[in-house]
Amino acid sequence: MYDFKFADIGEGIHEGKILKWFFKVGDKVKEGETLVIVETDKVNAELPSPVDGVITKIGRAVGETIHVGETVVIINDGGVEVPAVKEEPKKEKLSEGSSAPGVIGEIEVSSVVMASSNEGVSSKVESAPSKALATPVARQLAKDLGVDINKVKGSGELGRVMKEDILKAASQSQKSTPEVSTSTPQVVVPKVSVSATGDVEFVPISKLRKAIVKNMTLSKQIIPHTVLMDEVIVDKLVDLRDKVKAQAAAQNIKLTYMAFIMKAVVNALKKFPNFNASFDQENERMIYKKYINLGMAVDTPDGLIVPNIKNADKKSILELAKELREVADQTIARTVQLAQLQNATFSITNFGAADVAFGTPIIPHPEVGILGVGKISQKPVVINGEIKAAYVLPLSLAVDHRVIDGADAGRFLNTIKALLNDPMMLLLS
Amino acid sequence: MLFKDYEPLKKKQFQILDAEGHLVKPELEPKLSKETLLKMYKTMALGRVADIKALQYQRQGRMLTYPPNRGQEAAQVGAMAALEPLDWLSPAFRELNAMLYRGVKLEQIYLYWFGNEWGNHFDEDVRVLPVNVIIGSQVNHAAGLAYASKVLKKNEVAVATIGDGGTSHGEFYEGLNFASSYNAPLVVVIQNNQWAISTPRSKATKAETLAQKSYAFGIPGIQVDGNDILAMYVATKEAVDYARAGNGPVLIEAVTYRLGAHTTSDDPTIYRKDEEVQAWEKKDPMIRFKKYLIDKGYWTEAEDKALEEENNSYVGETFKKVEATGLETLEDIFKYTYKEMTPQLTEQYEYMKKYLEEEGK
Amino acid sequence: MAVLTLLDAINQALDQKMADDSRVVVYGEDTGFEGGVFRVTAGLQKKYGVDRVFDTPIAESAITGSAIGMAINGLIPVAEIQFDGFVFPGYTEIVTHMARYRNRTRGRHGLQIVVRFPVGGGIRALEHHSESIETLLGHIPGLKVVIPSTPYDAKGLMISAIEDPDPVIFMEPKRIYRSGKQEVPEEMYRIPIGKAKVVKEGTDVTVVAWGAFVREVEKAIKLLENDNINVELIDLRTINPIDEETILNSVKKTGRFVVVQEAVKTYGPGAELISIVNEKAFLHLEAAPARVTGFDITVPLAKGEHYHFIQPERIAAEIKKVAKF
Repeated sequence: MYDFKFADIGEGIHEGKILKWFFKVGDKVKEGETLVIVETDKVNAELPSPVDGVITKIGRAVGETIHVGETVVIINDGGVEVPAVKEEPKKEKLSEGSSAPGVIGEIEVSSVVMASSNEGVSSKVESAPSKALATPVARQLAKDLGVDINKVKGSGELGRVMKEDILKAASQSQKSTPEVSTSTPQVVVPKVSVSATGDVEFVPISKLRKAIVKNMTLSKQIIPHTVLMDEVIVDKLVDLRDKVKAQAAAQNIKLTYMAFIMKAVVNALKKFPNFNASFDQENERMIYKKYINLGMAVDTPDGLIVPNIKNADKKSILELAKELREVADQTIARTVQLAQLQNATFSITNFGAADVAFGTPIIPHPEVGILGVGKISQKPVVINGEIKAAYVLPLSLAVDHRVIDGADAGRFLNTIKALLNDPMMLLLS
Repeated sequence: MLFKDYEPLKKKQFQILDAEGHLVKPELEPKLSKETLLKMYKTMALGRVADIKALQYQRQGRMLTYPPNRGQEAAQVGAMAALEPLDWLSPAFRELNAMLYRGVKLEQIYLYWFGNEWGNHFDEDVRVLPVNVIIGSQVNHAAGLAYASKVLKKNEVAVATIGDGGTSHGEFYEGLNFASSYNAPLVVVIQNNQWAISTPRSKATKAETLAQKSYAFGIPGIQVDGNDILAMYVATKEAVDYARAGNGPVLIEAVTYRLGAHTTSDDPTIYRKDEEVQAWEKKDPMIRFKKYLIDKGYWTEAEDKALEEENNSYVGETFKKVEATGLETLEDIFKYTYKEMTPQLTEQYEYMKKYLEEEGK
Repeated sequence: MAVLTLLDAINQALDQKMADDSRVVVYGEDTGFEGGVFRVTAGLQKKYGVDRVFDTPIAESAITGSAIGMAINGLIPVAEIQFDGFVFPGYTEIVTHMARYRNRTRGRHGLQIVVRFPVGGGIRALEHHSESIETLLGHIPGLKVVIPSTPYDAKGLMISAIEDPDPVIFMEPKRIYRSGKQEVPEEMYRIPIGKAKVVKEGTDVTVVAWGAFVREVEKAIKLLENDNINVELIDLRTINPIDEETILNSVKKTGRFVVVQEAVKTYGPGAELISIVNEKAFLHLEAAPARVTGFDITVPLAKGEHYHFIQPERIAAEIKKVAKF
């Protein structure tokens, strides 16, 4: 069936009046024969048949008005219904139905009234929030470090935020997580696939956990750990502490064994500076640190965090105890400053808090050793051939075997043992 | 009527003064005053000296590319002498004598060819458009001048000059056709000097004469002996009067010869024969015009010699002045792009200025 | 106040300037008697006579070339080229003379001329009737080039163009000649050449468009309503000289920049605008500037045109990319 529609013949017409029909329903017509004459504003248009066939329907009768797009006639041309050729998907609807003079092309005509011009109306200048001036590279760095670049003070020309400014801001920001500052070798971690063997629950990990994942993986990847374990009899230490405990409490200091242990470790570090160092593999050198920042592992509800006590070698046991408590509290409350978490030179981890004796602690990169301290408990020991009950402190010393040999580690550990076995030596050092 | 008698298809070339200086059509001798005739001759003489010296300066490396006019003085001056002061000249680039005659100073002409746009900045009362390098455009410009004159009832005529090569160009055709369709007062003088660089006249078109192209526009045309200054004057005068009266454009073909090269960077010995050049040297417009003036008792050889010396020193001084003062300033190359510099131009100018200062220039 | 189409606004501007200044003449092919194939100059010949409003032979170089002579000799010619694609036969005169005459004569002859013609596609026309040649004219020193997007602007810009002492190319976006009406003040007023307009204020991304495409971008902005992207839309209005100040102030505020141009991509106006933004607002950018353009092809005939004529959806998608970077 051919549905012959009244076309816009481009003379600016959108309707016409049927003047004369040359055929009626049922007549046979040949392609090209004039079907009808339509009267328009400009011309009387003769419309020729587009196909051979039989007239099955007349659109409009003589005297009636036909609009562009309406059916003139339907002709049964024996062919399959040809769907309208899908040309331009979004054909501009010519709203008044026709084209205006222009000789070429189809210009839309519409009487839609648009908003009046507001020329010259002074725009209320929306003062935008002050934004940082920075290069794309700097912006990316800020993004990577989780820094809001618009809050960073720029030290460059015209207040431009430079890379250094961003790094500075990153180190000063609150509620930050421990970062691994050195570039790390990437390990390709195999995908974990969950086969449908049972019910599973997916829980995304926290930011802190992410940092721990990174740090632990790195340490274990890079550092060949070796762990020496031993026990030391600490009866004298227990006595000493008992005696001094009350006086400390009077100064509002809770005097823990850890304070003594820290002091012992500091001592040993002074004696064995290669334990208070970093190994710079790239440049094949040791970096000896002239300061001692003791990292103390703290168990927080969110996970393990290791703040450090700065310049522990310059502090008394009481001071160490006090500061340890403060820093631990801050760490648990997650109010600790980023600086407190950075630049430890040697660390201590307390297995005892978990009621455990021995372990194989993981050295926080780029340190070269960590001392794991176990629970002090009473145990049978042999002194001069006799079995006695004594307070025993288990120690687990992990070292970076690239730069610290077993013998050195042994010496280091024995130094600590000696000091804890006979705390008088501690007071003298 | 001149245009009827010399209708192009009649194949008659209009001449009054032959190459030897004899009046072959004494009845058509124009009634020009001694003053005017001498002005014409002196302009041609100055032009010739300026032309020769320009070539010399160029060979000395002191002048840039320059198009010599030698041989075409009568075609130019004869035509210009027929104009009123308020008429316009829209030249191509080989109109030294025409421009001089119409009041452009030699200094300005030299300044232009020296490489400074200020050479195009003529005085208010000098109705000459600057040298036009785009072949044919000058006809369209002149058509516009003519149309404005007509519509504003100014009574001016616009004369465009063009070479034989230029008549092949679309703009020649469009401009004349445009002006003709409004009867605008345009006269086009073709300086047919037989050569468009190395292309001889015969290759520019199949038409036998250039004047006969006038038929295509429905206007009168006439072919004139371009080295005959009297005939050039008479033909142009008639054409200008005709156009001024509102009858529409006229096309004049001045048959002349380019005795020199296309420009100082051209070697005509490659493409044309010396015999031809020598033949045309004999038809030098200066020879016959001088004879005519001497015959009339208006001029003497002694005066001629003195004039030559005078021109030599004048031209020399003029060029030296141009050499000494004709350099451009940084500001000028920016300042005239628009009436007011745009922010971009100002920024670019300031940048360059600063850059040059820092460089110590 | 009258409510006019863009086309009628131009007509009114011509009419009023012709009444105001007897030097103004309007001419071109079919411009006089018929009033132009689009009827932009309808009614003018009747009012001002055959000398001032006239038809020319088919000779674009004569149309543009004679404008020069007319301008030198006391008229203010407003020359029409019938369609963008036919500028080329008249281009020689525009570039080699019209643009340079003031410079060539060191100010002795500045040319006060307007060359106007319909531009742009999206009308399913024949070849050469849908061109966007901003670059070919904006690149020429000595020319000014303007293109209105609304009836109000069309009148103001035309009056400014006629009054400007330099040659002005006035591009008329034919697609929107009759598409919509706007209030147009009865009296003469001017829109300064060289001044863009902030059509819609925003905070997130600056989008620059001109001519018919200002409306297309407005449609795109509507599509982005649910994406929480607050676009600042600038109508460039003058292709040359570019209003750098308005653009830069906006980019410094939003930090993001998109140009929408109907024209061919390579060496198009977008490249110039983005260069300016890079030169002068680099440190303010939060994303690379982008351009949404026509392709490096000849504008297709009707059956292929819809691939080429940028749809609002595509514009919205590109704006979104930049906004979300």
